[in-house]
Amino acid sequence: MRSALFVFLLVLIVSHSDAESGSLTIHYGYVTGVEVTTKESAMARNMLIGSLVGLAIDDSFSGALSGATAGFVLTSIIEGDKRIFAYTLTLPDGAIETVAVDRPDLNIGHCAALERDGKHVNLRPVSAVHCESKSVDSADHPAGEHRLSAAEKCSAARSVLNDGGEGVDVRAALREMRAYCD
Amino acid sequence: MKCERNVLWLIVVLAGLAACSTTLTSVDKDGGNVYALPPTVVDQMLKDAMSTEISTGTLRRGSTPYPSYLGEVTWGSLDKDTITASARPAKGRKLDGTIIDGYVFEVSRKGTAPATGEPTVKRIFAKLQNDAELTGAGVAFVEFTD
Repeated sequence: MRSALFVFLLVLIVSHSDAESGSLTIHYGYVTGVEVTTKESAMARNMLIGSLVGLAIDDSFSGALSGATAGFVLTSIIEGDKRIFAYTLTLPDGAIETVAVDRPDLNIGHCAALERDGKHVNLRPVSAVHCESKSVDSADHPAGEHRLSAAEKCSAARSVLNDGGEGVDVRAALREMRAYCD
Repeated sequence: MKCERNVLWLIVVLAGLAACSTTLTSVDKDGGNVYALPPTVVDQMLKDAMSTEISTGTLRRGSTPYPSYLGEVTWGSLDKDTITASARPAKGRKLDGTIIDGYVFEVSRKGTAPATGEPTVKRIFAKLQNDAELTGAGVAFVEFTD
């Protein structure tokens, strides 16, 4: 009986994870902090970044890290990779999200869309109109459906490119990525 | 006689300075990015970036065992630079510590037309860098494997 209950709970957990990994969410927020990573100050900054969980760096890590682990992980990124930028976003409801991505072209004050699903994280600059809306639902934002559609196409193009394989139209996937991920 | 020799040396030095080379790469001594992408994808990225800057008449595939393209740009009627864009195989480390195979992008120029070649390699590299960042496939550089 106890083992049956355990299996039931396990199935619930697994199905919940699967459902979450397939759902794409978009959050809009102003960039309120940019962590420029340097080797010298990596250790001190990592503890700070690590404590601001909400870190979304990689498919296998998004939303699943404790602060300490995130700090440790980010240490290894910074030490091996000079092109990681940690952005802090303040959402209209006051919530804080910190995301580490490759792109260096966002600055404090920019409104950005944080697109996240189980497989990828994308951060892109968008019109400030999106950051003024209090609505949490992406679809309620101006051109929300369009944004959601673009994020889905970006995610699909990235999956195709990362997986590769026979018969894949690489040119088309690259065009989609350039059109919908930037 | 002595004056002629000096002029000759000056010409040799100037020619040496003119025939210089430049390489832009996504890794340096402080580390960098390896992009864990299939070879067909990096090949197409290189081709796209090069074809916007190099005339189709001179653009050709490189002889390296890894994806690469090269072509020429000219300055005036005599000076010429050879531009090479390549994706060198390398190992990268994922966030969880797993070592995976990928590619490092490099763009270089060599020849006597730096006035044309320098801005060209910068634009090609910027295109590649932008594409590479959009893929979201960057992992930390460990070592080259070529």
